[in-house]
Amino acid sequence: MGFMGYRRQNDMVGVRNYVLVLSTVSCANGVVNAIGRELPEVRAVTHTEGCGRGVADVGISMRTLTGLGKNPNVAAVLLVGLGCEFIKAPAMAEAISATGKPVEYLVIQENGGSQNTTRKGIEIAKKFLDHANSLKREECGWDEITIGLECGGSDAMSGVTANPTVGATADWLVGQGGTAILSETTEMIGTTEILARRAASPEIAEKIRELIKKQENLAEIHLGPFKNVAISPGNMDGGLTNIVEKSLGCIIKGGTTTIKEVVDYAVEPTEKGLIIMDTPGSDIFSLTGMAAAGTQIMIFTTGRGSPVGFPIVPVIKIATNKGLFEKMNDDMDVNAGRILEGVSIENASKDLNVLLARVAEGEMTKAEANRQDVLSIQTVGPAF
Amino acid sequence: MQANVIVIHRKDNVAVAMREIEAGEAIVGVESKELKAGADIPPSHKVALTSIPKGEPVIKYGESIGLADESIRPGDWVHTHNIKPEEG
Repeated sequence: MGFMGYRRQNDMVGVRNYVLVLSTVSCANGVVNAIGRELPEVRAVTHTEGCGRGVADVGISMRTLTGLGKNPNVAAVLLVGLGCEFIKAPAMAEAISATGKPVEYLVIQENGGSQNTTRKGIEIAKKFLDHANSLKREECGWDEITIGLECGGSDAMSGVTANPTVGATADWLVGQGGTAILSETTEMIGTTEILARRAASPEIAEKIRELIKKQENLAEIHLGPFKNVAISPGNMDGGLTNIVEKSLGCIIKGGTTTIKEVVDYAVEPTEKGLIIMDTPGSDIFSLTGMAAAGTQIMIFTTGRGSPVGFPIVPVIKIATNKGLFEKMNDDMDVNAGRILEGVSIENASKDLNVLLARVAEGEMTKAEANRQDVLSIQTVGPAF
Repeated sequence: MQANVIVIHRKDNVAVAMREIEAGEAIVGVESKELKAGADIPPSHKVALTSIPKGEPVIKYGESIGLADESIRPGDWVHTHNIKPEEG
């Protein structure tokens, strides 16, 4: 049995039906926000990139922003650019329109400044809202769903209650023909050979080794004496003996199936099944990379209590313990602490699958209700 | 009796304490027979379910997290004091 979703022109399936108003450069954020204030039902999304960066970062930003526009949760896209920036709105509009969805762009320097551009933008966005409202949900299959997996603000119970539950759900989805993305390369350190053994081919195993090695080197260079935060005294007090055990508790949320592909940040997988994406462990960068790869739903476990969501993708929040679930109840969707009261991981996962279906069909997550719409694009070099 | 440990993977030879377990207290939540804590086990720490001879893997999540640095008995507290990394 599937679920009711929005089938897009390119046959991809959305679980939401948003009109996205997106800046292509941070200089256009003011206009995007002005359109968003006038039309709160659009997703007005801003960021800090688009210009003043090196070649590699421009490439990542272009790919990420284009991917957000292509995400099947989005019914139509209005891009707002400035005019003199590195990343050009017309080129991005063309790339997104390959999906067949309605895309338009406005360039502030060519449209009479901020107020005139805002006025034009409101007209276009209203037209797009009418279009989106005319679309109906239809029967879709779980093989058309990609979930993104995340853990943030972890505690000693993350790897015991919430992450194994999510892993069982990832296994279920992959069994249905769907796709699960395991991200956060930093949190794979120590488990290189365990993951490599699960790769679908020797080439994929080698990619996994390279990826984790690269991240270890980066941690060494940039964190220096702090690189040991990977396994801190606090972790050890919590019962984690070493980095292998800690990372196993993170990667268990990807489940146990074969790793079918390794993709770069914000790159859409070409395979179905379990995918590894190279992202930072930092939650919001990671969510953004997975959303840009076409993820329709995220599952996010937290022990200390992270409230973050994502502008165009529902994020299901799983508290690892009952105390957090009660203390931050308006941010938490699921209490995995029930496992400490005798509920099996298997049954907790079955309940999560039911919630996943309800969210796929439109039930708002707590992060959506709170409009916890945050986005950060990964960068690898300095600003110029 | 309510379980006081959780076994994450069926291959595991350690379980995770769900609350503080005192030395001598019964380990509840595993299939095996009579098992008593050989030491105080702090919450979320590991307790051995079987004998783990010195040099044999300590298994959690169905994977080795390191080798026993001494002979570990069922019910023992398992942590940095009796696990060493697998590779040299």
